Amino acid sequence: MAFRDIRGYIAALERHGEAVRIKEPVDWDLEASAMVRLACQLGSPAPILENIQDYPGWSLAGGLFSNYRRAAIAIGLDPDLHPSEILNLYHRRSKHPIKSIIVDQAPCQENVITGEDINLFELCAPYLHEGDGGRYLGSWQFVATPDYDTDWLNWGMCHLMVHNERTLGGLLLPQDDIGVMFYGKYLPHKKPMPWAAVIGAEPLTTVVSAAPYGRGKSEVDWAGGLRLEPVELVRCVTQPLYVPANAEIILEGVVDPEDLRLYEGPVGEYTGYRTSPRMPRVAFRVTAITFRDNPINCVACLGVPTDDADMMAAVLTRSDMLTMLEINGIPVVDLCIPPQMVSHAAIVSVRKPHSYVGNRVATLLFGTKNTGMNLQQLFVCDEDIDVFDIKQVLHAFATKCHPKRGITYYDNQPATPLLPHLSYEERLLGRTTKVVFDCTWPLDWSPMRDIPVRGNFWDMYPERTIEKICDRWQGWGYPQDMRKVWEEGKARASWK
Amino acid sequence: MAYRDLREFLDALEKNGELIRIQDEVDWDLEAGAIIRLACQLNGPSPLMEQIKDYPGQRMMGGYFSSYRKAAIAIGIDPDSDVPTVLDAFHQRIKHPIKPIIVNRAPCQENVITGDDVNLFDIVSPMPHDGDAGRYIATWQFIATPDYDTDWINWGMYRQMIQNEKVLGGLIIPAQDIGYQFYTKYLPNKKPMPWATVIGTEPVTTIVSAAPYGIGRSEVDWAGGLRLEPVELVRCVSQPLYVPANAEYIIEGYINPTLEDRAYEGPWGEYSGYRTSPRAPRTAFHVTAITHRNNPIHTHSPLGVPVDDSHMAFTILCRSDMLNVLEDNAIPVVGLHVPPEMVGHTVVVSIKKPSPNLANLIASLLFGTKNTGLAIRDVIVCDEDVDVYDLDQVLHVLATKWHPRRGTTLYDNQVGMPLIPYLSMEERIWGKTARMVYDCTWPLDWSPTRDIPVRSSFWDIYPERVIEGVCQKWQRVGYPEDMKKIWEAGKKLASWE
Amino acid sequence: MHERPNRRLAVHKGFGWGEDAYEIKQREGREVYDTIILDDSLDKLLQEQEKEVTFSIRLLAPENRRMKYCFRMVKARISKDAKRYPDILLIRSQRGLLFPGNWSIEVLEMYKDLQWVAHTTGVLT
Repeated sequence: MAFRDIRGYIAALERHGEAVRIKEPVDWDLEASAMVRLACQLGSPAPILENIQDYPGWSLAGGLFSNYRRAAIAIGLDPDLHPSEILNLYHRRSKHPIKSIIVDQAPCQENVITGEDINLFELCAPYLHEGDGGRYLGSWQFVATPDYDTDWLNWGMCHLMVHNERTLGGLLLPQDDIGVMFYGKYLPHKKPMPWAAVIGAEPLTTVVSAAPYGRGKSEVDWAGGLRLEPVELVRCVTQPLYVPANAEIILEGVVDPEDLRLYEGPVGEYTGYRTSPRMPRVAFRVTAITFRDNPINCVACLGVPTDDADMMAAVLTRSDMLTMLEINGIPVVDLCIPPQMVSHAAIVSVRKPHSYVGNRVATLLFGTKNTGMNLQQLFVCDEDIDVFDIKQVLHAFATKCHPKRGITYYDNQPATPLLPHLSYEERLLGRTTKVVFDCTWPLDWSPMRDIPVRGNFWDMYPERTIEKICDRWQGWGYPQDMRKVWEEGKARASWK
Repeated sequence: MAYRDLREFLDALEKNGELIRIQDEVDWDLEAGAIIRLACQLNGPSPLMEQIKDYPGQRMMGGYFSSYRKAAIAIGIDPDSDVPTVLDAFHQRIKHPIKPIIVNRAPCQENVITGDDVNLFDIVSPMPHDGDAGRYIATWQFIATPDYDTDWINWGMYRQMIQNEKVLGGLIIPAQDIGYQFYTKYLPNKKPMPWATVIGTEPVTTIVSAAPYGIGRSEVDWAGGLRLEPVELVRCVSQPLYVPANAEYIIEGYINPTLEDRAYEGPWGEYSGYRTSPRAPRTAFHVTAITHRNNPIHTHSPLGVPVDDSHMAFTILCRSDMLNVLEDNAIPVVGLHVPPEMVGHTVVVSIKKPSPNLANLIASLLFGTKNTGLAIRDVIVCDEDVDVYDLDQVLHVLATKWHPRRGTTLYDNQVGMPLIPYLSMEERIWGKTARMVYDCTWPLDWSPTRDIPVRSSFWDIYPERVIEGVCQKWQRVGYPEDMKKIWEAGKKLASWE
Repeated sequence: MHERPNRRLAVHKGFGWGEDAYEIKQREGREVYDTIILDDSLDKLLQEQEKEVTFSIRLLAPENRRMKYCFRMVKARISKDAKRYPDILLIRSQRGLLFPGNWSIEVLEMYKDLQWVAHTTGVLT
């Protein structure tokens, strides 16, 4: 059932009209990226570029996970399901990890290059945006690193820039899992940290690496759980480390604790801006390159919504937040991270049992590890709002949020340097202010006297009137099958 | 060129696929309102209901102005024009008012009922929403009132509920034009105030009455300007007052110059998308005559969640009024949008940035204006590179450029309206609210090369040669969008010239 | 949604996007490189003119096109005068914006190794 590799997934995308194969020659220098970018901005099918200038035999694929339909296809669901159904299924599956298995022979090692022969410029790395600090080889991929003294294998998604033939550069934040391993263990022990960059694994294997699973928890098992099948791993050729056997490209190497730094960046990021400063960052020295025949380099060309980064937050971070809220007994009805707001906002609907539940949700979410770092704004709604319908949310915001009573500011919150709204000083200090917009009716308002009744077709008319109209709607010449809509949604609409 | 009456406009809607004729019998009691409501919520064609239970010969319709397409048809421009084109067409036309002309014979007086024969229940008034306090004869119409001592005629869109055969009840707020006329002139002079309710005109004549034109300014002339042709007026049969000759129904009457003549009115579902206003003793409107066309069509708007006619009227007319204020004050506005999805509570402005704290200059100007400012809760100010007509872009800047501390200014103790849903009962009684400014522009002291992030949009972050190459290729490689045309049409916008 | 080109941000006007480097190379018959500076202005760079300086450049028009954007540490002389030295040097800001006006460069030595620098502490890693 699960996709064996990215090729199977691309074929499925194509079947559902979510990918286009392009045979026309395309330049890796900006042009390919611009096509991926435009496709994301238009919500168009993912371009699979099969004829890349200077790189015969190579393909570039981008925007592989940039909408709810593609997320559904990746999980093996009907792409026309409502987003909340897709996400809830993902959420349920993520609770049952499956252990990986080891194989001996792997497609990802069909071609092996080591030693003096290594030249990263022989790999088709695109130049993503005009003015970026360099070419990025890793933009939709993950870096696998083994822990120093336990058997925890971490996967994390990060950008890797090509410095020269054998050196990549990247951001290694101390608070990230990979940073905990490097700064907390390898560096003090003066041991080189092995790593492997995995490009073009099947989609679930790739996207879980961007999920905030926390210390000591292995993304590999989660990927298996989501796939309903174990991930097949193979041993690297030059490093003591296992990687997905069916990936397209594997880069192996070490981060040497003796090394100085290299200036890296900037690059256009998930926020929709090029914000990060050019700074001295860690060097990833490469010891081997292995890849499949006719490899497909999978890229994300990040920018304004909607692209893969926005969707990964919408799917993965949501699941993590829900788990957090469930454990703490918050009466959540639904939760959405709207892709339009690049994971900086979350919308939660609650059945309100006690006062200021919105601020309890906020403190919980702002405090969590990766999840909370990006989150800047929390919108809290009553249970009668469909959090996946951004227009309903905006209406609730415009009509139910009191500019004084309804807004709480959280000052002096930790921040990443990537947040566009921060001043240079705030970025240096890693400081931001977060905010909660409470769009629920206050608890002390009387239902009879104070709480307004919504003027909605589904709220303001008796069931008999609704039913009578829905029955005849199509007969009058309207296109929507309202009878079906009503039959399916009736239970939701009742107070039972 | 202009539509002579509602019927000509309905033909135009039908030609553009924006009208559905319903021959089934429909009940005026909730059902008609529910049908219009659903059509608005689905952003569908307007329903014209030709058989109304208990009222043979009378028809009902609604939702004829609930989208940009319908608004474009209302002023006779291409229905597929993009949003700013539609908005700017209204804004340009409204700057050139045209005086009305008077006619002697009028379709609206084909049937005349006066004196003891007047019975408001003979008109097909809907019960708009379940739980409303009564039948509302007037939900999408306007009331014309002559000033006491000048020749100004005010048109305003104020609701009216049926109390009994000859009395309507309605809300007259002192801050509105009709309230200004009544409370500062007729009442102190102890003279009855004549009024006429006009139901069923082509849209622009009705929507201008919802616009905030200010004291002493006549909506009639603005309607003429929007139509590019004068409005035809006729004298009422029982009151010293002129009304549109081609309307479907006219109800004439007077208000007694006393504060004692009151009737409990309300609640009913409002523009905000809620039934918010309290039930309270309100003004009694006494009826002296009813006139109507043969086979009249009643226009009704069961207000509620977006997008319905009231939101579009706001989006178009309040915008125009705000633009005038900002233009008069030389604010470098690039775009201004009142998203209908946010029921007029939120205004999004994009500016070229010339001076510090411009966002607050804009906000205080807008918060201070008469009707326009009353409904606004917040102003979102963006840089010129944001398309304010695209909500997704606005959400993106709110999520990425708005700093919750530096970018926020709270305006406390502002004038509030009782209809605002988020106000507590106490705040409603005292008319007190707070307002907000979300400044989503890059701070003036940020360096362009070190601090201001570069936006990573296809249109920003690639050289023109790459954009052009990709747009050329786009359809050839299998995508449907004609990017070549989009680029040609928008190239100038994208350049820094 | 109807996509249409955005207006561009006025404060970034003048920091135009680059011409294709190979076109420049062909037209002028000179090598083309760029460098990324951290400072907000060109002041520091102006002081470095006509001295022997060691810094990082990117190859923008190498013989093997696959090598485009590769970093090299060089010992070189630079000048604001576009004609003074044999090759062309473009200057970018750390936001990736291109400063107007080409500089010129004479590469005295090109090293295989990269320009290593010290670790800066702080959140901005």
